[in-house]
Amino acid sequence: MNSPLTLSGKDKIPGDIALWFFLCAELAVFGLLIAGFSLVRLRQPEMFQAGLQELHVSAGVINTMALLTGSYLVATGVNKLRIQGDGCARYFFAASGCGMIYVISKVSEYQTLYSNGYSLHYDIFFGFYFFTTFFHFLHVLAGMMILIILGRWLKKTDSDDEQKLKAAESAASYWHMVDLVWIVLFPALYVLR
Amino acid sequence: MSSMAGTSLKTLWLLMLLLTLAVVLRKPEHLILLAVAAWFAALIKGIWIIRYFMEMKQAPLFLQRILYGWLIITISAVTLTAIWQL
Amino acid sequence: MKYQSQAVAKPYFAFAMLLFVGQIVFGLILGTQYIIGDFLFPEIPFNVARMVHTNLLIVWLLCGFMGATYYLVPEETQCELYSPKLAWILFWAYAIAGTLTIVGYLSVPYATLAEITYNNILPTMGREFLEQPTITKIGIVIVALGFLFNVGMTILRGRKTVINMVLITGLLGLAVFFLFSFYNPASLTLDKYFWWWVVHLWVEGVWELILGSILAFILIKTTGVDREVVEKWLYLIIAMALISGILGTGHHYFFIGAPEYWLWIGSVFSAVEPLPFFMMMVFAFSMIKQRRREHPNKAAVTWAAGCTIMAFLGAGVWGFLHTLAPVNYYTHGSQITAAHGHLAFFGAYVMIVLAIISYAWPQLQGRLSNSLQAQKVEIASIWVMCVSMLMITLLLTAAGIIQVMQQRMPADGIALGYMATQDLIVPIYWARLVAGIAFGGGVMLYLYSFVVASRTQADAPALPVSA
Repeated sequence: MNSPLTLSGKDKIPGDIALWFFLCAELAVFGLLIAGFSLVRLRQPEMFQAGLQELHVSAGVINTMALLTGSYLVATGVNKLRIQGDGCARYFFAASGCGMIYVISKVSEYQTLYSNGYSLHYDIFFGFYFFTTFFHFLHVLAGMMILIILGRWLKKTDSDDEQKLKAAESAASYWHMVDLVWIVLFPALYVLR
Repeated sequence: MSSMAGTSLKTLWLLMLLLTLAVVLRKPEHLILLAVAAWFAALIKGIWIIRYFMEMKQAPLFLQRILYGWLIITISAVTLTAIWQL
Repeated sequence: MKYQSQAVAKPYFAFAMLLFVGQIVFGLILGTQYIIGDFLFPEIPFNVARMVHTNLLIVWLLCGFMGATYYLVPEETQCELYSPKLAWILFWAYAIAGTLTIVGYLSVPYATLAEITYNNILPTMGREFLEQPTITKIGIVIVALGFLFNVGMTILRGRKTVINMVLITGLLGLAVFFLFSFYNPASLTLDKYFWWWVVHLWVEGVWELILGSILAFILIKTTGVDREVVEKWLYLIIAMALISGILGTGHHYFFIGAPEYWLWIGSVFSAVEPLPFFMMMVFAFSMIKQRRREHPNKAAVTWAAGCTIMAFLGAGVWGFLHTLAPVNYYTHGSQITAAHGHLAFFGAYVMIVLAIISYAWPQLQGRLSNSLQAQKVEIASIWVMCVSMLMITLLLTAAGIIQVMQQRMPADGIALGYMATQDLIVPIYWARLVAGIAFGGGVMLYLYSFVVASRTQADAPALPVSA
């Protein structure tokens, strides 16, 4: 694999150090939710198998593709910003558009499930499914907002390059974190059944 | 250098899309094979996201360890408990 | 003091400290009653003493928050308070209503108090921490509205900083969630469910915003670190506090008749509740490390830094200790809860109020800080209070562990009864009382530091004349 251009030098943290505390905390929350999901699956495999069959693989695939594409666009945007300094806002807007695809597909999946009678209260599997994915969904919404705000700010701000880059890297790290969580949720919900 | 960065990110992205599709479309019949495939696919995607998208390559080692550790633990928990039901 | 109207903080701080002393006195009475059951009976029964102890805590902390706000907001907005007169009127309303309520608790039986305050028209009394008569609750709402109006108008007029925005959000949340104290459904489950919206969403939600903003203010003032850096931390800390704190409410929904999924949500989210407190600790110490000036008020810095450590231990570690559903199944309502409650309230909220008093009081008196001698006494009092509170916490934890092992875990028939277990714990309660007296000594030492400060006024650094 040829190595892409990244931060130069050792021990460089992209974005803000304070943000990384936050991201680690967020990963801890998701990690605990996933661990809980796995524990319950051990105890009630039949219920989980039945529940998993009700989920829509295509929706899962679309969501994975959308988030991966979003992440690619964000990473490219940050790289472009590092090299050229401007004209990269559109990457962040486009990534946020990918988030929109995720939102639409997720909402339609919720709607189908809900009209089939499944909800948070249905059983422990659907409790986990709805809660964890909805919590993740809120993070995608937040990420989209952050990217839009970042894009608009980059267009009009007169801050220096370093500040711009710091802000872009911070927003990007948040978005990648949301993507990373989905990378684990996807097989758990749509593949392993 | 810039074009190189662009190309490799694009390659990674396309490979990840293919990997996602491959696991779903050419889904192995046997659950263990499926679990191994899903485990590898998620691990590779996760590692690339952390290393190249998040740009953790040069980050302090402890932060890298936290992220990779998180990835390995969660993905293993998910796959192992799926295999367990056999 | 840069703005004249900051002076209205003074009566609030003074009243808060007065009530603090009252709270400790009742704490000591309670500590004794744990050992000698009929101590002061029938004049002050245990339930009344407990009610006064907890209510005084809430009342004085709120008083401290209001004082802190009146002190901090003019400086942050860079303009005078909208109406100092309103602040004074509200102070007297609050002080009189608070005092009457406490007098009511102590002078008549609780049932009589309910009767003479017409609790039957809108019954809200009789619930832990929300024991106040309905008219007092209405009074609190009116004071809160006036207070928010006054502060809100000031902020609207002046500079809007992250600190005062976070602070006003916290105060608004405080007022809004208090409204749930008027909702008193007949179903015990529903009652508890919404009761926690006041109790939990206060201390593990909006109060953390108030705590964060006061802490950020003190750190900016004493370390001279860039506002931007401080604000960024503040944002992330409160985001984390809200994410974990709001859904963390679930840890109160175990085994009370709420849906089963709360077992998971409550466990997961409260498991990360220590993290914002951990971040606060990292924040405070890294700001102090990066400080650009040596502020002469070392006592305030000690309070602020100590606050983050004790809050992390009390709210974070001791909270986590019994927050997971399988653990809480056994520890629910044992002395472990009391241990957590003591260290968390002291570390997070008592210490932050005392920190802002320590920072603001000398300035309100026209000094940049107290003299070195006074600060020495004050810092000694911080150590005495912290160490004895840690002792109280450890002893109560030990008591709780005995309770769980003897009374909760063994099978029916083998398990000890409640009172038999209490008898077993008596030696620990004695030690706890000693630690409590030591804490009282710490409070006295703290008050004595004010005496030293006024005696050694001449040695104190003067406040620079502000432009």
